[in-house]
Amino acid sequence: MPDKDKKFIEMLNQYEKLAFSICYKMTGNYFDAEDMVQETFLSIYKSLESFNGNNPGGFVTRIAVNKCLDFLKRADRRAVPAEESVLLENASSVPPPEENFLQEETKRGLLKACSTLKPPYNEVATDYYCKGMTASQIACRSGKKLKTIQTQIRRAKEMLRKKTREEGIL
Amino acid sequence: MMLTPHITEEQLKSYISGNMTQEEQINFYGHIAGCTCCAGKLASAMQEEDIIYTPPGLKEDILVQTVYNKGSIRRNAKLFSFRSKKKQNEFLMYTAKVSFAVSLAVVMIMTTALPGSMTPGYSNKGLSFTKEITGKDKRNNSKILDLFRSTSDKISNDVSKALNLD
Repeated sequence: MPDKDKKFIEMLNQYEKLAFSICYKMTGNYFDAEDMVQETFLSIYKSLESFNGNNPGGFVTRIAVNKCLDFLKRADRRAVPAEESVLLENASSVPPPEENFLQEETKRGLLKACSTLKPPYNEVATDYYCKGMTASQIACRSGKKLKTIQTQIRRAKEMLRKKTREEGIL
Repeated sequence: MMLTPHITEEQLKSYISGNMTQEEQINFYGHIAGCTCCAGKLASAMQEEDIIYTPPGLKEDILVQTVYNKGSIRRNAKLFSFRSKKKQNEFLMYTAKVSFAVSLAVVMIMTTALPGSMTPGYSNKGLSFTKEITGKDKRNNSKILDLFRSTSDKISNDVSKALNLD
């Protein structure tokens, strides 16, 4: 494995949760945060050669914040002009983190949201979001193709995003 | 070029505890977006929190799109070239079949055009069922034969070329 890949995996392991926390705080939606973390690490991977290795936490955080600001600006443009700025709205919509019970709270909320989807999305979403399984593990267990599972996860995510946005949960 | 002042300890504290006003948050994020140093401060302040559960599948998704992607691009490219070659061969076979059918049709037309066969033909005298072979017809026949020969040669060349490719 090339050095670049090793360095990237190390960064991903160390800063994925941090990036997720920042993106969640900024976007105010669990599934938008997931997208922003993906975008953040994709652009980190692309720009890793130009990174001098100093302050990796700052490097990741800065990119994540930029991605979320872009996202909020885009969301703002999409929103009806009469509405308040999305950035302003979202910035206050996420309550401050309170100890580790939030982890459990998040999991419970996810489980509840996943169970409302129709089959086969409820099962795939529960495996992915609540049981902590990866797409390939789900594919392996169900005997379905990885492509199929990836598509189902993507669709489940879109439904969950819509649902959680409408209901203002997660 | 830094237009806004660096993030202070107090700002960090109020951000982490969720006591920042909306405007303060906008300024806070705006500064961090351009300052790796302050972004680092936020990173170390946040890490102690480590609050939100992330789906483990997310890491795999990211790896599939980055580190593991190069291999699959190569594999896909290979798969694609294989497919296009297969399609090429299919096309060649189809061409060969069609050319064969066409040449068969040409042979049939030629044999019916030979003297003695009951082909309706027109002459100056009117409709007669015996075709008179003229010099022009003969020239045409040999032209058609040449064409047939060159076409079948071309087909056999193409087919052998296609087989060599594999």
